[in-house]
Amino acid sequence: MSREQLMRQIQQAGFALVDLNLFLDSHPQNQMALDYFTDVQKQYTQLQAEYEMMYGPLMAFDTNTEQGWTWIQAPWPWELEA
Amino acid sequence: MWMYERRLEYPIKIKNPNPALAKFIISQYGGPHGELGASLRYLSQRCSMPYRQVAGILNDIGTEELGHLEMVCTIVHQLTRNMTMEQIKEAGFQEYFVDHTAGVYPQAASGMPFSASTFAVTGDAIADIQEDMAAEQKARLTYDNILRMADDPDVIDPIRFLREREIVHYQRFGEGLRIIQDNLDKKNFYAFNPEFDRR
Repeated sequence: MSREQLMRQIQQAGFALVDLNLFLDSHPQNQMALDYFTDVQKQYTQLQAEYEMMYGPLMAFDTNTEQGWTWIQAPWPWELEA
Repeated sequence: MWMYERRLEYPIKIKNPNPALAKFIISQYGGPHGELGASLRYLSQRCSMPYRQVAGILNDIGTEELGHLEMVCTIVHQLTRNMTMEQIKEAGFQEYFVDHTAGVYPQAASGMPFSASTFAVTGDAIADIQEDMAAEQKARLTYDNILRMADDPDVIDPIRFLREREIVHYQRFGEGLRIIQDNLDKKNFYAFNPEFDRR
Protein backbone atom coordinates (compact mmCIF):
# COMPACT_ATOMS: atom_id res chain seq x y z
CA MET A 1 0.00 0.00 0.00
CA SER A 2 1.32 3.49 -0.82
CA ARG A 3 2.09 5.90 2.01
CA GLU A 4 -0.91 8.01 1.08
CA GLN A 5 -3.35 5.05 0.95
CA LEU A 6 -2.17 3.80 4.33
CA MET A 7 -2.40 7.32 5.79
CA ARG A 8 -6.01 7.64 4.56
CA GLN A 9 -6.91 4.39 6.35
CA ILE A 10 -5.24 5.65 9.54
CA GLN A 11 -7.16 8.94 9.24
CA GLN A 12 -10.44 7.06 8.77
CA ALA A 13 -9.92 4.75 11.74
CA GLY A 14 -8.52 7.66 13.80
CA PHE A 15 -11.59 9.75 13.03
CA ALA A 16 -13.91 6.93 14.12
CA LEU A 17 -11.98 6.70 17.40
CA VAL A 18 -12.13 10.47 18.04
CA ASP A 19 -15.86 10.58 17.40
CA LEU A 20 -16.53 7.47 19.53
CA ASN A 21 -14.35 8.89 22.29
CA LEU A 22 -16.56 12.01 22.51
CA PHE A 23 -19.77 9.96 22.28
CA LEU A 24 -18.63 7.62 25.05
CA ASP A 25 -17.80 10.57 27.33
CA SER A 26 -21.53 11.36 27.46
CA HIS A 27 -22.78 7.77 26.93
CA PRO A 28 -20.30 5.64 28.93
CA GLN A 29 -22.74 2.70 29.27
CA ASN A 30 -23.57 2.34 25.57
CA GLN A 31 -22.55 -1.24 24.77
CA MET A 32 -22.82 -0.84 21.00
CA ALA A 33 -20.43 2.12 21.07
CA LEU A 34 -18.07 0.27 23.44
CA ASP A 35 -17.95 -2.75 21.10
CA TYR A 36 -17.42 -0.55 18.05
CA PHE A 37 -14.62 1.28 19.86
CA THR A 38 -12.86 -2.02 20.63
CA ASP A 39 -13.06 -3.07 16.96
CA VAL A 40 -11.67 0.19 15.58
CA GLN A 41 -9.03 0.31 18.32
CA LYS A 42 -7.58 -3.02 17.09
CA GLN A 43 -7.72 -1.85 13.49
CA TYR A 44 -5.97 1.41 14.39
CA THR A 45 -3.14 -0.25 16.31
CA GLN A 46 -2.52 -2.60 13.38
CA LEU A 47 -2.52 0.20 10.77
CA GLN A 48 -0.24 2.32 12.93
CA ALA A 49 2.30 -0.51 13.31
CA GLU A 50 2.20 -1.19 9.56
CA TYR A 51 2.70 2.50 8.74
CA GLU A 52 5.56 2.98 11.17
CA MET A 53 7.38 -0.09 9.85
CA MET A 54 7.17 1.13 6.24
CA TYR A 55 7.20 4.92 6.40
CA GLY A 56 8.67 6.00 9.74
CA PRO A 57 7.34 7.05 13.13
CA LEU A 58 3.94 8.70 13.72
CA MET A 59 4.93 9.49 17.30
CA ALA A 60 8.45 10.60 18.35
CA PHE A 61 8.57 7.88 21.04
CA ASP A 62 8.14 5.20 18.33
CA THR A 63 11.33 6.19 16.49
CA ASN A 64 13.63 3.27 15.76
CA THR A 65 17.11 4.77 16.27
CA GLU A 66 18.91 2.01 14.34
CA GLN A 67 18.46 4.18 11.23
CA GLY A 68 19.30 7.39 13.09
CA TRP A 69 16.82 10.11 14.06
CA THR A 70 14.20 9.40 11.38
CA TRP A 71 11.51 11.44 13.22
CA ILE A 72 12.47 14.64 11.36
CA GLN A 73 13.15 13.05 7.97
CA ALA A 74 9.60 12.40 6.72
CA PRO A 75 7.47 15.33 5.49
CA TRP A 76 5.45 17.20 8.14
CA PRO A 77 1.66 16.99 7.93
CA TRP A 78 1.25 20.64 6.92
CA GLU A 79 3.46 20.11 3.90
CA LEU A 80 1.59 18.88 0.85
CA GLU A 81 2.20 15.26 1.85
CA ALA A 82 -0.64 14.98 4.34
CA MET B 1 0.48 15.97 28.88
CA TRP B 2 0.12 15.94 25.12
CA MET B 3 2.07 13.87 22.60
CA TYR B 4 2.24 14.90 18.98
CA GLU B 5 0.86 12.52 16.37
CA ARG B 6 2.38 13.23 12.99
CA ARG B 7 -0.77 13.43 10.86
CA LEU B 8 -3.73 15.70 10.19
CA GLU B 9 -7.17 14.71 11.45
CA TYR B 10 -8.42 15.16 7.86
CA PRO B 11 -6.27 15.40 4.70
CA ILE B 12 -5.45 18.82 3.18
CA LYS B 13 -3.81 19.24 -0.22
CA ILE B 14 -4.23 22.70 -1.70
CA LYS B 15 -2.59 22.95 -5.11
CA ASN B 16 -2.86 26.68 -5.87
CA PRO B 17 -1.70 29.60 -3.72
CA ASN B 18 -4.51 32.08 -3.04
CA PRO B 19 -3.75 34.79 -0.46
CA ALA B 20 -7.24 36.27 -0.97
CA LEU B 21 -8.70 33.18 0.76
CA ALA B 22 -5.96 33.07 3.42
CA LYS B 23 -6.87 36.65 4.38
CA PHE B 24 -10.18 35.62 5.93
CA ILE B 25 -9.58 31.92 6.76
CA ILE B 26 -6.85 33.13 9.20
CA SER B 27 -9.77 34.21 11.43
CA GLN B 28 -10.42 30.57 12.35
CA TYR B 29 -6.78 30.38 13.53
CA GLY B 30 -6.69 33.34 15.92
CA GLY B 31 -10.00 35.17 15.54
CA PRO B 32 -12.90 35.56 18.01
CA HIS B 33 -14.55 32.21 17.02
CA GLY B 34 -11.33 30.44 16.07
CA GLU B 35 -9.77 27.14 17.02
CA LEU B 36 -7.10 28.60 19.34
CA GLY B 37 -9.74 30.25 21.53
CA ALA B 38 -11.86 27.08 21.41
CA SER B 39 -9.09 24.79 22.62
CA LEU B 40 -7.91 27.19 25.36
CA ARG B 41 -11.50 27.78 26.53
CA TYR B 42 -12.30 24.08 27.01
CA LEU B 43 -8.89 23.04 28.30
CA SER B 44 -9.03 25.84 30.91
CA GLN B 45 -12.65 25.23 31.95
CA ARG B 46 -12.09 21.49 32.50
CA CYS B 47 -9.83 22.06 35.54
CA SER B 48 -12.67 23.10 37.87
CA MET B 49 -15.46 20.99 36.31
CA PRO B 50 -16.76 18.72 39.11
CA TYR B 51 -18.54 16.10 36.93
CA ARG B 52 -16.26 13.45 35.45
CA GLN B 53 -18.20 12.99 32.24
CA VAL B 54 -18.34 16.74 31.53
CA ALA B 55 -14.64 17.18 32.41
CA GLY B 56 -14.00 14.36 29.89
CA ILE B 57 -16.02 16.15 27.21
CA LEU B 58 -14.08 19.40 27.83
CA ASN B 59 -10.73 17.60 27.85
CA ASP B 60 -11.37 15.61 24.68
CA ILE B 61 -13.08 18.33 22.62
CA GLY B 62 -10.33 20.77 23.70
CA THR B 63 -7.78 18.25 22.43
CA GLU B 64 -9.58 17.76 19.10
CA GLU B 65 -9.63 21.56 18.70
CA LEU B 66 -5.83 21.56 18.83
CA GLY B 67 -5.99 19.21 15.83
CA HIS B 68 -8.32 21.69 14.12
CA LEU B 69 -5.90 24.53 14.91
CA GLU B 70 -3.28 22.49 13.05
CA MET B 71 -5.68 22.03 10.11
CA VAL B 72 -6.42 25.77 9.80
CA CYS B 73 -2.68 26.50 10.09
CA THR B 74 -2.11 24.01 7.25
CA ILE B 75 -4.80 25.60 5.05
CA VAL B 76 -3.34 29.10 5.53
CA HIS B 77 0.19 27.82 4.94
CA GLN B 78 -0.74 26.01 1.74
CA LEU B 79 -2.66 29.05 0.44
CA THR B 80 0.33 31.35 1.00
CA ARG B 81 3.30 29.15 0.07
CA ASN B 82 4.83 30.01 -3.31
CA MET B 83 2.60 33.07 -3.75
CA THR B 84 4.02 35.72 -6.06
CA MET B 85 4.34 39.46 -5.29
CA GLU B 86 1.75 39.95 -8.03
CA GLN B 87 -0.77 37.69 -6.23
CA ILE B 88 -0.05 39.44 -2.92
CA LYS B 89 -0.85 42.84 -4.43
CA GLU B 90 -3.93 41.60 -6.32
CA ALA B 91 -5.35 40.02 -3.16
CA GLY B 92 -4.69 43.08 -1.01
CA PHE B 93 -2.52 40.87 1.21
CA GLN B 94 0.14 43.58 1.77
CA GLU B 95 -0.99 44.54 5.29
CA TYR B 96 -0.51 40.99 6.54
CA PHE B 97 2.57 40.36 4.41
CA VAL B 98 4.52 43.35 5.67
CA ASP B 99 4.58 41.99 9.25
CA HIS B 100 4.31 38.22 8.78
CA THR B 101 5.52 37.46 5.20
CA ALA B 102 4.21 33.91 4.54
CA GLY B 103 4.17 32.98 8.24
CA VAL B 104 0.96 31.96 10.05
CA TYR B 105 0.08 34.39 12.87
CA PRO B 106 -2.95 33.99 15.18
CA GLN B 107 -5.14 36.95 14.30
CA ALA B 108 -8.68 37.73 13.22
CA ALA B 109 -9.51 38.56 9.59
CA SER B 110 -9.69 42.20 10.75
CA GLY B 111 -6.00 42.07 11.77
CA MET B 112 -6.75 42.03 15.52
CA PRO B 113 -4.21 39.71 17.24
CA PHE B 114 -5.49 36.69 19.19
CA SER B 115 -6.86 37.62 22.60
CA ALA B 116 -8.01 35.54 25.58
CA SER B 117 -10.79 38.15 25.92
CA THR B 118 -12.61 36.23 23.14
CA PHE B 119 -13.56 33.54 25.67
CA ALA B 120 -14.53 33.15 29.32
CA VAL B 121 -13.83 30.84 32.22
CA THR B 122 -16.49 31.66 34.80
CA GLY B 123 -15.97 28.77 37.20
CA ASP B 124 -19.72 28.10 37.01
CA ALA B 125 -20.64 24.82 35.29
CA ILE B 126 -23.87 26.00 33.65
CA ALA B 127 -22.48 29.37 32.53
CA ASP B 128 -19.37 27.72 31.03
CA ILE B 129 -21.22 24.97 29.14
CA GLN B 130 -23.77 27.45 27.78
CA GLU B 131 -20.85 29.55 26.53
CA ASP B 132 -19.31 26.46 24.92
CA MET B 133 -22.52 25.65 23.06
CA ALA B 134 -22.70 29.24 21.78
CA ALA B 135 -19.01 29.07 20.82
CA GLU B 136 -19.60 25.97 18.69
CA GLN B 137 -22.46 27.74 16.89
CA LYS B 138 -20.27 30.83 16.34
CA ALA B 139 -17.49 28.68 14.87
CA ARG B 140 -20.08 26.88 12.70
CA LEU B 141 -21.47 30.14 11.30
CA THR B 142 -17.93 31.45 10.65
CA TYR B 143 -17.23 28.31 8.59
CA ASP B 144 -20.58 28.86 6.82
CA ASN B 145 -19.44 32.39 5.91
CA ILE B 146 -16.06 31.06 4.75
CA LEU B 147 -17.88 28.52 2.54
CA ARG B 148 -19.95 31.34 1.01
CA MET B 149 -16.72 33.03 -0.15
CA ALA B 150 -14.34 30.11 -0.88
CA ASP B 151 -14.23 28.94 -4.50
CA ASP B 152 -11.45 26.31 -4.44
CA PRO B 153 -12.64 22.68 -3.92
CA ASP B 154 -9.28 21.86 -2.25
CA VAL B 155 -10.20 24.42 0.46
CA ILE B 156 -13.94 23.78 0.62
CA ASP B 157 -13.52 20.06 1.44
CA PRO B 158 -11.53 20.40 4.72
CA ILE B 159 -13.59 23.49 5.74
CA ARG B 160 -16.76 21.38 5.42
CA PHE B 161 -15.20 18.76 7.68
CA LEU B 162 -14.37 21.41 10.30
CA ARG B 163 -17.92 22.80 10.08
CA GLU B 164 -19.42 19.36 10.73
CA ARG B 165 -17.26 18.88 13.80
CA GLU B 166 -18.68 22.07 15.35
CA ILE B 167 -22.16 20.54 15.07
CA VAL B 168 -21.03 17.29 16.76
CA HIS B 169 -19.32 19.26 19.54
CA TYR B 170 -22.47 21.31 20.08
CA GLN B 171 -24.40 18.07 20.51
CA ARG B 172 -21.88 16.69 23.05
CA PHE B 173 -21.93 19.95 25.06
CA GLY B 174 -25.73 19.80 25.05
CA GLU B 175 -25.48 16.35 26.65
CA GLY B 176 -22.93 17.77 29.10
CA LEU B 177 -25.44 20.46 30.11
CA ARG B 178 -28.08 17.76 30.69
CA ILE B 179 -25.64 15.79 32.87
CA ILE B 180 -24.90 18.92 34.95
CA GLN B 181 -28.61 19.67 35.39
CA ASP B 182 -29.34 16.05 36.38
CA ASN B 183 -26.94 16.57 39.28
CA LEU B 184 -28.44 19.86 40.46
CA ASP B 185 -31.52 20.92 42.41
CA LYS B 186 -34.26 19.98 39.89
CA LYS B 187 -36.52 22.75 41.12
CA ASN B 188 -33.83 25.41 40.75
CA PHE B 189 -30.80 24.67 38.56
CA TYR B 190 -29.18 27.90 39.73
CA ALA B 191 -29.60 27.40 43.48
CA PHE B 192 -25.86 26.79 43.84
CA ASN B 193 -22.69 26.65 41.78
CA PRO B 194 -21.42 23.03 41.80
CA GLU B 195 -17.88 24.24 41.03
CA PHE B 196 -17.72 26.38 44.20
CA ASP B 197 -20.53 25.81 46.71
CA ARG B 198 -19.96 22.67 48.76
CA ARG B 199 -23.18 21.06 49.91
